[in-house]
Amino acid sequence: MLGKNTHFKIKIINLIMIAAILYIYNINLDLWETKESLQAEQKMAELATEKLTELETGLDSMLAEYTTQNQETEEALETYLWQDGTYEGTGTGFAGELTVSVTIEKGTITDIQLVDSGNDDAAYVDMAVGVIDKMLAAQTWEVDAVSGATFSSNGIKDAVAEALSLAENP
Amino acid sequence: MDRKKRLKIQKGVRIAIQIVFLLLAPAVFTSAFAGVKYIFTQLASAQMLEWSAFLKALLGICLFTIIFGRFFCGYACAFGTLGDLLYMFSAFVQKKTKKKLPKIPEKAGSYFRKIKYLILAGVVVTCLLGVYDKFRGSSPWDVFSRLTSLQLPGRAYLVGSIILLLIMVGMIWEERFFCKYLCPMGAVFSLLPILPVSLYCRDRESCINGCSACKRQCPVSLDIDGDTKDSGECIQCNQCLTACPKENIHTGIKIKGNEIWLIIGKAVVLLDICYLLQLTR
Ligand code: SF4
Ligand code: SF4
Ligand code: SF4
Repeated sequence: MLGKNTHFKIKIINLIMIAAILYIYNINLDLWETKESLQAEQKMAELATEKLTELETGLDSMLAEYTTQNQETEEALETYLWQDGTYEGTGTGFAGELTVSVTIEKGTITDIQLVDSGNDDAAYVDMAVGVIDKMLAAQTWEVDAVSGATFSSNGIKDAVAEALSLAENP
Repeated sequence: MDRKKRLKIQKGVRIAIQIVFLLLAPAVFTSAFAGVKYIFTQLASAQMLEWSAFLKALLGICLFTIIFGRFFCGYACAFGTLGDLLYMFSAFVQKKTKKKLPKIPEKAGSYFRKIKYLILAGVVVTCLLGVYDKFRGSSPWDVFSRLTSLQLPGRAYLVGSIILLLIMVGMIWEERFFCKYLCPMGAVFSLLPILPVSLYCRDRESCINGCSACKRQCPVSLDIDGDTKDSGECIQCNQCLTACPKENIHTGIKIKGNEIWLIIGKAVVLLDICYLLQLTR
């Protein structure tokens, strides 16, 4: 039918089709996501103008409130869940201990670094560090593990949990 | 150099390369297969395919296989090497005790080969349904990975450990039992369009009448004929070239395919790829 090397030709056509389908899938998802985020931005802009007018009218009263608020923030600093500083914690990954360092500023987690990835395979660790972004966004260690690299990501989560427990305000 | 000596060297080189890869890069096949699972989990949850480490591992190893054939399977896969070591031991014992294990008949074998596609399809479907994580503890590869990183598998892996043991029994029974019948990564490789120049052919006209030495030596019992419907099964172990008394087997271009410079060259390229993909220890 296809002359010489029939099987090779059929397989290469299959492979190109699969690659094309995945590529189109990716592009469409990309377009869809940009559309969504554009719409979201527009809404944000509208909201912002609304807020701005509100703010302008309320500025005077806010100025008056400023002094009292300032006091409140100072009090809040003491009631933050975590004290400022950098804390280390360890957790068990796929093949050993993982170590992270967590930085807290003004009660928020501003940075999480993987200090030591133990014996876990680099490719898995590479996937697993995805949980760090999730944890920074959610401001907690309780996020979903990266599927496919469950052990390494759970190790990172446990390590962050340990570091956070050290940071807790008494 | 006479033929016998050359063949001995080739055998030694193969085992040496297998051991090097077993020690330096024992997780390549699991990472590459994690790439397959990654694609379908992302599809299931309508998420973008990012240029992730697993996807890179899958593409890197597949590209190498398309160009050079399944050299990775024959010379570098840790699980394949485990099979070879177990079978080597079993062949030695069989020879010493002069007792032979019964062979799986060829006809049945050609059906069993299809099982690996079913396993691949099963994994793909569980990923698409988003329930793959529920079966985590039953993957024999995860158990093997834990062992290669010198960790005990633990309770959660009970099912996987039992399956691994059963597979090891199969490996003792038949050469490359797992690769031939069960390996889902091997199923992916079999479906790849391997360049015809890298496939083995034989000059049928100059074959010895009634000879089938090459097929009997072949761990996947392949009828060597270049591009056939089963040509993707060849794991490039080069045992057929060793077996043929007339040196009748060669690649699509006019080199044999088991030259030592070629083998070592391919191994170096593959090790480099693994290193670049962060798959080495
Ligand atoms: S078929 Fe599977 S287990 Fe066998 S060598 Fe290839 S990747 Fe490894
Ligand atoms: S014996 Fe020959 S045909 Fe069979 S798998 Fe090995 S290299 Fe391929
Ligand atoms: S071993 Fe050599 S001579 Fe015998 S069938 Fe195979 S290719 Fe032909």
